[in-house]
Amino acid sequence: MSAEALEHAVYDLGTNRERRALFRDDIAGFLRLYALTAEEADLLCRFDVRAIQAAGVNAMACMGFWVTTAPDRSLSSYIAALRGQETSTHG
Amino acid sequence: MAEIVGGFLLPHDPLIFQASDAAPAAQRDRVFGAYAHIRDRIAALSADTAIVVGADHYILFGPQCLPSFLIATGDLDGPVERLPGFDRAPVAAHPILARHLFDSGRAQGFDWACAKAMTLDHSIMIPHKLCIEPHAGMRTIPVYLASGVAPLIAKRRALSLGEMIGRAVHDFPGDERVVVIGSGGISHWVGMAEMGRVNEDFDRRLLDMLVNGDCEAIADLEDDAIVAEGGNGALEVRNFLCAMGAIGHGLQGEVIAYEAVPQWITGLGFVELKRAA
Repeated sequence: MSAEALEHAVYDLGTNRERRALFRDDIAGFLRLYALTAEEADLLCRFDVRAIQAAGVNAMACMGFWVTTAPDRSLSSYIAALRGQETSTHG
Repeated sequence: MAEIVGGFLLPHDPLIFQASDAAPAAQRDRVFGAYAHIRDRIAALSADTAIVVGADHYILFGPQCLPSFLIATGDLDGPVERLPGFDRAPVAAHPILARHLFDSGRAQGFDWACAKAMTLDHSIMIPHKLCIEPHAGMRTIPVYLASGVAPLIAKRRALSLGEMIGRAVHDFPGDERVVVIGSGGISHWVGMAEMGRVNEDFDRRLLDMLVNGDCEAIADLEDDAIVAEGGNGALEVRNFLCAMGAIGHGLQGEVIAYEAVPQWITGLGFVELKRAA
């Protein structure tokens, strides 16, 4: 697993509205922009921030990704997801 | 010649503005009182220039370019983020001294990244607003270290960079009176599962090292141990080391205040750095 590619995608989703719109409206088109493995793409689409962080992605980028992109963007749900108390899926 | 007349270590927790009322009033008052104390000490030192060492939080720089250490030598403004009570506004810069620091570093093997213009983040803007801006005519030189986003600057490199800054200020042909500010929290877990935890025991141990000027002990701390005990935010000890290096040998510190504030997810430490008499 390449933390760099995953971090690149996570960072872009947290900071770039156009990329967020693409992720929401054309997920295949979004994924074509990054050299992600199928496993990494799956983590991203399932908002599995716990596994994303475990893969080595920067925690601040991870938090930015969640609060801008996840279906439930609250910090409390983010912390719960990190702690394995809750999961969320791409809507 | 220009002179470094003092130094300070302080936090830059944006929650003191974003969630000001979340903390107990007494703690809030002591935290803002500590900033006011530093503001007043800067006045007492008759300082006219501040070199502020901060950290990017994946706000200013992205994965396409992550400088190890950067100096801003031109126009400044900030903050880049929306913070209550802050309007984005110009920040008084000192381009001549900043350029001197850049050139001195390059001549001594420190290949600075350079920002010819920069919109600053909260790690510089919070100390600027609370401690520097109140002094009319005071100028700021921002230095950013890779202390929040990997690949991180090595701690000893941060210390050496600070030592170079100290030498370069001393060599500058002016009469500037410079304070150096290391901007960083102590324990805080930003975006990690432990976010909200504060480890006062770790913070107190680090404060002891800081006031004793024990740069070597801090540089010897393993990053994995820092993250385990102080969170990823405590990796900002690099900013402290850089400021301490600029003050130089014989350093002693004095704790101005320490507050463990889980509501602000941070152990907030304030230290004045002094050379031993």
